[in-house]
Order: sequence, then C-alpha cells, then structure tokens
Amino acid sequence: MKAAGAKRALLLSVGGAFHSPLMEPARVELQTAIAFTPIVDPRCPIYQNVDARPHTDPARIKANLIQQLTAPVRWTQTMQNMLAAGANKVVEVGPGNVLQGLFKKVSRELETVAG
Amino acid sequence: MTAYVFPGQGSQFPGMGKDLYDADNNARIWFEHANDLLGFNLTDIMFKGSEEDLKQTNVTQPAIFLHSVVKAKVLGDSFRPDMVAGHSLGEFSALVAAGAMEFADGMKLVAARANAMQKACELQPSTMAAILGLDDAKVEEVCKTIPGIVVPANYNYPGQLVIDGSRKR
Repeated sequence: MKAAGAKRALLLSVGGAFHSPLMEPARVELQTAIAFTPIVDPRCPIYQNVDARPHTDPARIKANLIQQLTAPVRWTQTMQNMLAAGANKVVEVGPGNVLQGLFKKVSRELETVAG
Repeated sequence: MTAYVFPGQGSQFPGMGKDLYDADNNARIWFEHANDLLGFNLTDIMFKGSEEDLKQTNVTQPAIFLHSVVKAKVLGDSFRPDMVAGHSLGEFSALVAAGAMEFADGMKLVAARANAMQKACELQPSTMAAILGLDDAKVEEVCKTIPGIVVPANYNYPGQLVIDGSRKR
C-alpha cells in the first residue's frame, strides 16, 4: 500500500479479519439466532453498515445484520448520508469518542457531543 | 436533526461504565441484569480488568454494547433521535436504543456474535490493517492484486480504510 502512495499502514491488534469472507462461518452460525430474534419498527430510521442507507423494515434490518458479518462497514458513506438527510448534531453514546472524531473529518463545523 | 451513533470495537477502555454504575440506580440494575444473562461477571472485567482483558473479542463486544445501551437508558426522555447508526457491533446497540430490539435479546445476540467471530478467527489466522492517506478506490485496486483474501473491511472516513487479510499458517 505504501508503494501505491499510502501515507501510513498500521497493523491493528484485533483477533482477525472482521467483515470479510473469512467470517462466513460466523455468519452461518448467527443467521438463525438473528432470524429468530424479535425485531420491531425502530422509533427512527437506522442507517446500516452494509449499504449506508436508512432502514425501518424489521425484515430488512435483520437481513442487513446477518450480511454485516461478511461485508465491509460503509461508515464514510453512512456519515455522508446522515449529513445529507439533515443531521446537524451528532451524539455519540458509549465508551470513547472515536465516532465524533470520524464525523469531524467529514464536517469540521458539525456539533458533536458525548451522550 | 440529531443523529445518535454507537461505537464499535476499539472504543473499550479499562474502567469503562464504572461512573454510570456508581452514579445511577437504574444503570446498576441493567448492568447486573447483563451479568445474569451472560452467566459471567462482565462488569468486573469492565471496571477492574486490564486493557489486555478487554481486548478479547468475546469480552470487547458485549462490554461496548452494554456500556452504550445503559448510557442510552440513563438518558431517558432526553434521548430523542431523528436517526441512529452504529459502527459494526454498534448496530446492535443502536437497535436496542431505538426500541427495535429488547435489551436481553440484544445482549445475548452480541455475546453469540462475539463468540462466533472469535471461533472464525481461530479457523483461519487473519488480521486487519488501517491504510491512511490513500483514496478508497486505490486501496480497493491494490487489494485485488494481492493473492489470498485481502479486502476492504471498514470505510472509516475519506482517507482511512481498514483492510482485512488472511495470514499464512
């Protein structure tokens, strides 16, 4: 990648190749559990990783959760789509502030806070 | 419009969630409920474990999910999302926070997901790497030229793409 012009390439200390075809055994193992888990309409659209688009249909949400295991996380596009849909404030709920930092990379003026 | 977003693996840190547990009775109930559902004391690892303890996928994923979901519960009526999203496992936190999935179902699914992913990792040694300062299209192109499985995993922001690769045994 450096030969192709990348500024840096960092090996991450994670267990393995998440969101790749190598996770196929995990996808197969999880698909029944996800299929049998009750999911109802969320109170607002959820932008999902597989296609970066907003979803409210429970059947589609489940299919996307299953597919997510072997598909890349399209977070760049997710942030762009949320901003295009009118998001002007981002609240990060959970440990750390990684996602606030990622949003700032696509929109420096955006208001971001910890939940 | 307000977007609520939920982090994924990598956001964990020693002591995570302890402030919530100490400050809020409801939070304590949810944390204890999670320990019962999981059959092990996750909160002990979150509050007292080392960085290394928290790095095991089967701990990391439930810990981040639990921290996010309890935080959303504690927000109560001030949690007013117009849209939500979660990074990787954060998608499960987002669904529970947005009322689409029950807490217990989400907790059990995330634990099962973490175990299944850990098992898959043991079948085929592999890793991830962050590529900085290169167009996504260029990274995709280079990935295709490398033998074995080398694919994009996380498109994090323009100029940072995390890729996956299999390791030689």
